[in-house]
Amino acid sequence: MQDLAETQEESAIIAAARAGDEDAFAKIVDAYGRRVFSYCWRMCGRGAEDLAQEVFVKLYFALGQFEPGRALSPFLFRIAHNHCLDALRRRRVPTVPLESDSECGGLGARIPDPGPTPAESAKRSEVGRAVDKAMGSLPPAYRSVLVMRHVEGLSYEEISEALNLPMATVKIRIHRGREKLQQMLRPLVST
Amino acid sequence: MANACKDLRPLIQDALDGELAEGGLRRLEAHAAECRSCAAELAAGRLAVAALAELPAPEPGPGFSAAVARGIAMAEVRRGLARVRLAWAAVVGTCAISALLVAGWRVISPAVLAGAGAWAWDIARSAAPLAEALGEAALTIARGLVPLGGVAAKLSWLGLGWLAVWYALAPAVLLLVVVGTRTGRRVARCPILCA
Ligand SMILES: [Zn+2]
Repeated sequence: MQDLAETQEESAIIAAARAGDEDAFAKIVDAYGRRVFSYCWRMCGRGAEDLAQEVFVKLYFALGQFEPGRALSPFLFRIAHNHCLDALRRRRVPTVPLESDSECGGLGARIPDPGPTPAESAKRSEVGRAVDKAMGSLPPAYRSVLVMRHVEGLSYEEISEALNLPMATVKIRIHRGREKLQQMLRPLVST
Repeated sequence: MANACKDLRPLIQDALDGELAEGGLRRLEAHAAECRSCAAELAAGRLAVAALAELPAPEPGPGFSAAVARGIAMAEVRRGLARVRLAWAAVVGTCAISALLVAGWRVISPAVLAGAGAWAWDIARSAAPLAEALGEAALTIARGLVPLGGVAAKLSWLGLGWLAVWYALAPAVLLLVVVGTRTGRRVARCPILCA
């Protein structure tokens, strides 16, 4: 899936999709599908593919409310975030205990095995697994901002728009979430 | 925790954000070179950021786009059905409400009309004695005036004219009496006069 640059080309594709062009919407799905799926996976684990598909269905019907000329990612991530929170609420799993095997937890254990190739298996270092587990144990409020910032690479401004929160709140959440991760990773740091 | 640690710890998050100015970063690095605790904190932060960026990116299955298209088609069908249901609900609801209103009116209207009739009759009944009393009073006054008119007519060649004047004056005098009485009563109720 190629990345859709947030440029005039993206604006044109979104405008076409808004006008009902199905091919244009398919391009949006291709461009953002992996990121939305990844976000849903990090937030909810199991059922992420269904959740991500539902996010795009919601996007399709919400495109009329999208302000043309703006970046799509905050708008899309807002839908994804709210959808994931709804899913978490339905499952009644407000936070995920470390190494739990609950529906939404144990992300580290539930990342699909990247495949049998030895190179990819080697990539999954001890640190990677520890971060996976630590992320799974964070409350959704911290997990969401850390995934948006450090996994999806959204700016503070975009996260603030996606979560409908003031920038200062986003910053505090990122700092606190990162501090929690730091505490969990400290045993892995040799001093 | 040493004072330097207390001062510099908060800078770690800014450093991880890449928002720490050159001077601050140098101070933090210099302190970390001497302080194992802060060095570990900074290293753990950097490790966390790097590890997050390198987390394996799960890929959706190959049929993802097709599934989204199917989902949209199904949602459109559901929305269409919902609209049809809404339209039917509106029609049925309107009919039901209309029927209820008509039936309700038919049941309630006799009672309402009877009630309104009784109410009007009550007013009329309570007003009638009043009107009668007023009429009696006016008649009495007028009766008293008639002989006077007659006397005046006998005393004058223009008797008929005087009679007409007396009869015209009768209601005016009656009015004066009424107004005078009411004013008198009001004055009598005045607190200063009562005291
Ligand atoms: Zn220190």
